Amino acid sequence: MSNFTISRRELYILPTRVGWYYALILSALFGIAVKFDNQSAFMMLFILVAVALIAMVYTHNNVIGLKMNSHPSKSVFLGTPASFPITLSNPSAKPRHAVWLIAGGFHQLAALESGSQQTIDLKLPTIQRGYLACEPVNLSSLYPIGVFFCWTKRFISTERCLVYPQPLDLVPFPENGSNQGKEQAQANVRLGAEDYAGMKNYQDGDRLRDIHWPSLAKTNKLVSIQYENHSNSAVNLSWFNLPSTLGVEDRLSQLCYWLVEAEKAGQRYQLEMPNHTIEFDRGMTHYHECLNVLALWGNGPEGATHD
Amino acid sequence: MIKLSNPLKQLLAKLPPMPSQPPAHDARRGTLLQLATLIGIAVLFHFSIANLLIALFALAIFALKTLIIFRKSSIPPRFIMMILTIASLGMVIYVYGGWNGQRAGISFLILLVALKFLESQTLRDYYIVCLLLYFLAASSFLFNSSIPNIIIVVAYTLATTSILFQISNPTKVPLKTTLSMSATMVAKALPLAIILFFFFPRIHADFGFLPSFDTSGNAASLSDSLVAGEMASSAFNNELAFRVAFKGSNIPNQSQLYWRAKTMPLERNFQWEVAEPTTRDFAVAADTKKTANLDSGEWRYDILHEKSTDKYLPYLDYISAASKGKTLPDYSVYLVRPEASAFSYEGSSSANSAASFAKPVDRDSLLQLQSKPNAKLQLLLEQWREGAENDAQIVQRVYHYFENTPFEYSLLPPALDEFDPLGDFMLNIRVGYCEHYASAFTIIMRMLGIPSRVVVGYQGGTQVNGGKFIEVRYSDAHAWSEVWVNGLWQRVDPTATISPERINFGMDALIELWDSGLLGSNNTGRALSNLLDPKGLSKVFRNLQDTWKNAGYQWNKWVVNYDFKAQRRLLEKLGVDQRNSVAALVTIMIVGAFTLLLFYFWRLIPRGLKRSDAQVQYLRFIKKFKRYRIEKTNSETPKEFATRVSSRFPEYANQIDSITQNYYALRYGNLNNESVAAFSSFKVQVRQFNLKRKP
Repeated sequence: MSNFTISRRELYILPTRVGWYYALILSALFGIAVKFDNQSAFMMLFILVAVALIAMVYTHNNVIGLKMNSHPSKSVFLGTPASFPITLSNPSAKPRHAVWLIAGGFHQLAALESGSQQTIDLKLPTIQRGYLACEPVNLSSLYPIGVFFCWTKRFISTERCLVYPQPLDLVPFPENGSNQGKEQAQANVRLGAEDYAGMKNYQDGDRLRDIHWPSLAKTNKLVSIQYENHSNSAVNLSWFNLPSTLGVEDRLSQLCYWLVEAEKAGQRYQLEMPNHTIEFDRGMTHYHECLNVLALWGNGPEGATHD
Repeated sequence: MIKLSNPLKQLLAKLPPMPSQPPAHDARRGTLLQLATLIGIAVLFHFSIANLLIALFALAIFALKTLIIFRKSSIPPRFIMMILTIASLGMVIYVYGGWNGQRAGISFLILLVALKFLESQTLRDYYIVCLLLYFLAASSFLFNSSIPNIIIVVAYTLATTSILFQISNPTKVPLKTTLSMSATMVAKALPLAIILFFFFPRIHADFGFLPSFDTSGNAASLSDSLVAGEMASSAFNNELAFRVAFKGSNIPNQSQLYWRAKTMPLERNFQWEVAEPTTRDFAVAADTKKTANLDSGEWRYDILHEKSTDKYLPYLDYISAASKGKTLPDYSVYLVRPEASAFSYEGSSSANSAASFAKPVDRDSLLQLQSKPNAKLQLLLEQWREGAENDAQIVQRVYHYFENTPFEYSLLPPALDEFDPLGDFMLNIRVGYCEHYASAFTIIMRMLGIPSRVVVGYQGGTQVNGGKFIEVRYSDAHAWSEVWVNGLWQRVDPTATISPERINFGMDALIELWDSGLLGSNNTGRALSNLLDPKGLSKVFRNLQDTWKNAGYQWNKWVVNYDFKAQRRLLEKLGVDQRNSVAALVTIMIVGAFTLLLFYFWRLIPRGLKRSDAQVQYLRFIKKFKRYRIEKTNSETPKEFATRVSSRFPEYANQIDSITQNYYALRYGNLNNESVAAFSSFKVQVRQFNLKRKP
């Protein structure tokens, strides 16, 4: 979390295009006043000049003294905009109107009453997975009449956003083969209790410990206990199960998709990457750990250690 | 070279990259409707200034745009815009015969505003419309610089500024807040504008590409010819011609106020014309100028002349010296190039025909006539000539004839016979305005061999402040006669004998009499005394009028006529040497403007909350009890005071308690981020605290 206070040295002001038009109109008016030696036109000219100068003071004072604080950003999937929350606070006793926060060419409007503060989510587009640093933030204002444009030095926020790969369903989930074997092999490793959901006839693949033995005694039928959301099912999401025709990014996207689906379905899953495997588990920590690996695969410092 | 460019590079490097401008939002419909109202008012004002056709066209375009805003439909396609633009250009050329002239300029401008408004779509378009509106408001001063007009223009500027406020702010702010914000800003701008106005050095330059002054047009002037019946029509023209301020205690009385503008020596069948000055006249004028002394006259005065295309300047008869124009041998004062706007000059005059007025005259040209006396008039002429000892006696006899014959003075004189207007007027109709009498008298003088001419100018004027100021209007226009007798030019005003009230009480009184139908009747005297009674009802009204006229005079003196010379005079008062006036002006202007701007920067910079701010509010709260003779003593703590007043006003006890607690928190508690908000609500709480009941 870093902060930034706008003082006199951090602030720049120049006329806008409309401001130059304004100057043009004033010079035409000056010509008229001189040519016709018309003192009232001179008076009007100077009123307009003074209005522009006062507007400059207003524009300057609309921005000076504001404080910016950046907050940690939440990770997002590639394709959805990353958001960087920034708190803008006005410690002065004067309200601020129409202040724009600009990052990477994207604008967010803010208006602050005296002594108030406002948190603004700066949205930035995500174009590749990995860490996305917040673009330098500028603050600008055209208040009050748009003839002057005041902007600040760049506020470089230390916050960064981790962008996960875009979840894409490119190939069907391999039902048989090595995947199944892995699943079976790992099935008994799991811990913890699941929610009871009901009974069903035994099928190949149901775990031994899930068989309801008392029912067998009564009905002579194998009945297994059903747990909610196939929670007892587990999937191995493996880099090696993907067809070799897929590129690296597509593989990551596909794995990401399965990961999201598995987490949604409440399944247990493990992520198998070359030289690095995250063991079967569930829950948000596990989920983000896996996504982390996918996001930084091959380029991030974390990813590099596993290469 | 490299070393030189380094600082520049550093300077450029210091400026960080400018971020892109905020995205344009759509202008709100309410704002656009306000803008439409402003433009509508401008178009309506345009009806009073320029051509009806153009105003109607602008109104039609304006109506179309208003419809578009209301129905939220799209703007007309580009080719229609092109057609409209070409049509409006063609119209300006058709109506004014070209580009030149300020009327053509302002018509073009109003069409430009209307067309730009019609095609406006983006925010920037509306910005430009607003800027054009500023310009349009300013250019209205070319036609009218009066106080009411500047009040209208300042209000207009304010309204335009508030629209700029609205379109540059994407969030909607209540109209009242916007108006008060723009009013504060314009109010803050005014002192700065005043400094710039008084100290910006006035220069003279001609920008050829700008529209020039209309040669014919609304600027009033006295005609260069005197046609019977024409001047009478100006009797109801109440437009101001010039204002006079007399210096010193020497003030002429009403019947001495003959403002000489032009002499007319050429007669064309009962009409008179001005003779254009020759180079010889200018040479004489140059000689006169050398000896002229503004202190030589009996009366000294400043004249603030309204805008006029007239080449002859009015001065009080008989002139001793003039600060502006060339004093010609016929003692009219000629201006080679008429001023483009209102202007001022000084004059010095004396009551009697000065010795310097005796100049040899060209007798032959001053006796030339086109009119011929008819038989009856011939008889009269012989009567007057018979047995006269000198010219002066003849003049006396003719004057007495006018006095003793039943001539009548009328503001609506009947037309005269086309072929013998002189005979018709002298012998049959005998009803006329001043020009009839001046014309007839001068012709008769010439027929009797006395060199004479008609003088046209103004007589009288409205006195303000006991005659110190005089306002002369076009309705005061007057014509009289001048005769060359005993080697001097002598003024003879035959109107004075026909209608003495015109000369002694001025045109105002005369017109009031005329309106009440009393002019020329037996009741004239009584009606006049009623009118001029200082205790009458009209007296109060007159005083009010005097104040207003005085304000007008000061306004004209300090703003409308604030030219190069007035600026010099101001500098002189400030004790600046005249030689480096421009440098002094620029220095004062820059120093003054920067000081004020820095003051604004310092004063307006947003600051955090101070503990004393809470105290200011608390004192305001205490003051509210003053009405009930309750005051806080110095030894009393706020808490004690609260207990005391709560016992007097039990129904307000809660509020008093809350205010006191908030005060303690803000003044003595910890100040943090929330304090500012707490202070704002404390302020509102104090403001809304009102004791209504009498205990």
